[in-house]
Amino acid sequence: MNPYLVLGLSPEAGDTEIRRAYLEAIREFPPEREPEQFQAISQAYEKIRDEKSRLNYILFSRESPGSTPFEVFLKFCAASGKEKPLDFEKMKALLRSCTRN
Amino acid sequence: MGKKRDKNSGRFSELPCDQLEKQASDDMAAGRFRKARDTYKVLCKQDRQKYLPVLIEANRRLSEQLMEKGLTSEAQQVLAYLATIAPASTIAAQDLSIVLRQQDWQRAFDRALRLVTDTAAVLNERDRAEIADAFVLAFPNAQELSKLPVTEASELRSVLGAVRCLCQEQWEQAQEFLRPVPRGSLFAAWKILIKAMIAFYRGDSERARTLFLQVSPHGVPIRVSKALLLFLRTDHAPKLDEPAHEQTTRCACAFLGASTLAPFLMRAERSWQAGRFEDSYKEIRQAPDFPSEQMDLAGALSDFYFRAPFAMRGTARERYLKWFMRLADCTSFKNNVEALLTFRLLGCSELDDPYSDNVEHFWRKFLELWPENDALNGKITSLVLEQVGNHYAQREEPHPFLFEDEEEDRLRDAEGAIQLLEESIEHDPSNLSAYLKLLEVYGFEKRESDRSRLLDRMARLFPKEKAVLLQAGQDSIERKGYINGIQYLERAHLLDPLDPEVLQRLVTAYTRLARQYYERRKINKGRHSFELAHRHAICDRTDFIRGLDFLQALQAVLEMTFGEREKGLRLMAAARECTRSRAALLLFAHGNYRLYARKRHGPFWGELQENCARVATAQDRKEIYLMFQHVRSLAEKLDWSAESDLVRACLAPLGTTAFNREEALYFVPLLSLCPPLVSLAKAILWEALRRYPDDPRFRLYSVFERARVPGVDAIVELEGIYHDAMQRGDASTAELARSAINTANQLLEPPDEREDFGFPREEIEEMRRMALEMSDPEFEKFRKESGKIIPLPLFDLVMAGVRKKAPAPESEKRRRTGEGTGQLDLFS
Repeated sequence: MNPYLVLGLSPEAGDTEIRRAYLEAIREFPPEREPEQFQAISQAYEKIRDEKSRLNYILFSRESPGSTPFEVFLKFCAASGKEKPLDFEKMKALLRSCTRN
Repeated sequence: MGKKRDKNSGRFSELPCDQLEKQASDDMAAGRFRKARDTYKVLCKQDRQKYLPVLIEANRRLSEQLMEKGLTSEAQQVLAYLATIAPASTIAAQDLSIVLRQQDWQRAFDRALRLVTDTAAVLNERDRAEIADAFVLAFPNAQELSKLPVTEASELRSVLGAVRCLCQEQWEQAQEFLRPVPRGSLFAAWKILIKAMIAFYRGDSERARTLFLQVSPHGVPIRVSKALLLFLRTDHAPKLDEPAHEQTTRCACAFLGASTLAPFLMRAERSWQAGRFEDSYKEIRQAPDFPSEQMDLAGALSDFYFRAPFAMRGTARERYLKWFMRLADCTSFKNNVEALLTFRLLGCSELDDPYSDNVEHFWRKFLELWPENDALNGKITSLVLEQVGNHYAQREEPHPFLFEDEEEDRLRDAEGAIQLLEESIEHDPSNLSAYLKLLEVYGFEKRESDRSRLLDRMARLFPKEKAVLLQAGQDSIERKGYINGIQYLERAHLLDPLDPEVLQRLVTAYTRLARQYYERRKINKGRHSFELAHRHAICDRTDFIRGLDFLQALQAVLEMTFGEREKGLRLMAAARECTRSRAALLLFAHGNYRLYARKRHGPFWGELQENCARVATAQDRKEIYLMFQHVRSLAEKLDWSAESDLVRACLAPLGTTAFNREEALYFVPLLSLCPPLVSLAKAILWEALRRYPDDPRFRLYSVFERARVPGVDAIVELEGIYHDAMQRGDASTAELARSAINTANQLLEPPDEREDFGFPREEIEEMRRMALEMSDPEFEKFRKESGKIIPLPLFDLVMAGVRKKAPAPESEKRRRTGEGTGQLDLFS
């Protein structure tokens, strides 16, 4: 999965911001409690820790984020933020769209 | 016009009533409502009073089924028919369903209101859920709310208030709104959904998951719940064939702000699952926001489609890449992003191909498309060129078997590599790895002056880079500029005091300097250099370079030869005291003594012979062997036969007495590379085969030992070894066996007399004629030029037999087949 997504960062994030996000993430998912999550976070950090790693990731990474499009979608859902609810109008439209077949 | 004939009447008329009734009942139970409806219609003609209620029920269920499938207009037709046979109250709920699906919120509100106020209406769970949905989704104003019964109006007001608070992240107020809504309320499912969403957005995943799973199975709340469960890393992933799958996906996409992607995603997934990968891409490609480089869902899917081939194998990968190749050929890209990602994909795939002709072309295209005004343009260009240069700078693949006509080791395209790496440095003068690679290529190509110039420049540009200081130090030492080298290495040591590589090189530099001083009779300076080397000496393990015992032994030899003999003897005594490997130490001292004394048997020889009898453990054997190799490398021209006899005697027990599998695996490939010890390697191998007759690795070594050029028998045996290794999970042996099988198969193929390498025969003949007339430098130039048009291995194949320097075709075939296998050259 996209390392920025794993660490909850924007692609413009710099070294310091990335390091901060990484430290926060491993505090939330320590290796003894969440080994898989911890590994994913560490791997993501290694990919973008400095500018050269980031550029190498953009240019030469061959790591596929999933094995099928739907798996990618599910992983994306699981990794994507749930920080903020939709605003009222969008929520209303979304709830209404759920009646459609 | 005659009366319309009932199409079912003929089919059913001959069956007795009870049989028809049973059939209809079975159809109802199996969800075949249309069929059941048709049967009840026939039965109704015979006994209307008895069968009308079941006919109504069958129609009602059919309309529900059609609505679930999204066939709203067909459901409406069924309802229109139902209206002719059933009282209005019976179809009111179905009517509400249709209006909800048509998203006519005002009518839905009115229908729901009618149903909720009709005391005679019999409502099931689903009807109640749809009434609640109609009220909530209409988002009625105060005036409309006042039309509802008091209880429902109050509860609906609470639910709507809670939704508003949820959207404004006012969690406490939202909870307050929900508190008065009781469990048995019409809006109970909505209450649970909103509470779950509050927990979801507050990050309380466990509570959110529990609440989402409690939502009743009808209406909008369950659909939203299923979608949001996808965000909670649960196993709740809908199966592709589930009817709700598409709806859940669409709803989740809407939460992600990617509503337009959902239908394309579903179709793309189906194609992918069916193994039609290119079709899958074509489906998703139609989505308006695809491909994307953003951090959104479209971006994640773009990542997937443009990286997926690297996880594919064989023809699937080839087909997929070919599709993109065609897209690139006809430049019919959807947009710039697609073009960029396509060239990246093709460039990366070409990097995996050692004989690629297009790698540079694709990456240059990529760079053309990269935005010029991007601040990172220089760095991106530099990295890309470095990568392609690195690709050219790889060594051509070694032979999997040993052959008489071994070629010299060379790079894929040294000139191309140098050109690209220099260009890379121009674009980003801070790109250290490009410098290091270029340095390596210069070294390989023996362009010493270019190498030194570059190294000086690097040392100026990167004064605090350990890698550069190490290189500069090493370079100086190799040119016997020990003092300079030591300065570089001391700086590297300051940057990383614990790096063992730096320490090892530093000690090496000090000891070489000391040796030089002693040889020039500058004894005090030599002693001082040893003192400096001792600062980094170690005593806790055997180390031929940094071990205190070995440093003392070396100084002892130098003292005995050039300095004070007594001091030398004292130092040797001290070395003996602290050593863990006496035999290796004595061999070291003896070997070094021979460099100066030129005597076959120096002062340590007798003691060494005595100690060799004590070489008993695996560790001792390993050390004596490695020390022998080290000593021999000090002066290869000296006659080391007495020493090799001694080492063979030390290792001889390996061929007969106890040793374990690991020891045999260690020594067989090592000793087989050392001509004086090949016979011992064979003896160990036979003993190992006697002890472990089924071991695939030893069997494989025995094939290599017997068949320098494998025959059919060897292939059969290799196949057996491959399968056994696979069964035992010995992947490395299996890989070696597989590559040996491929090589053997290629070697056994009869040469194709009509081989024309895919070029017109006349052109090939012309090229050969030209090559015959050229001088060696001209031919080399011609070869390089041709390399731009055809792969060099193919060129060499064409020129085989014409030019002496060109490799023979068979060996080229072997080279190609043994590509990247890492197979060992045993028993040379």
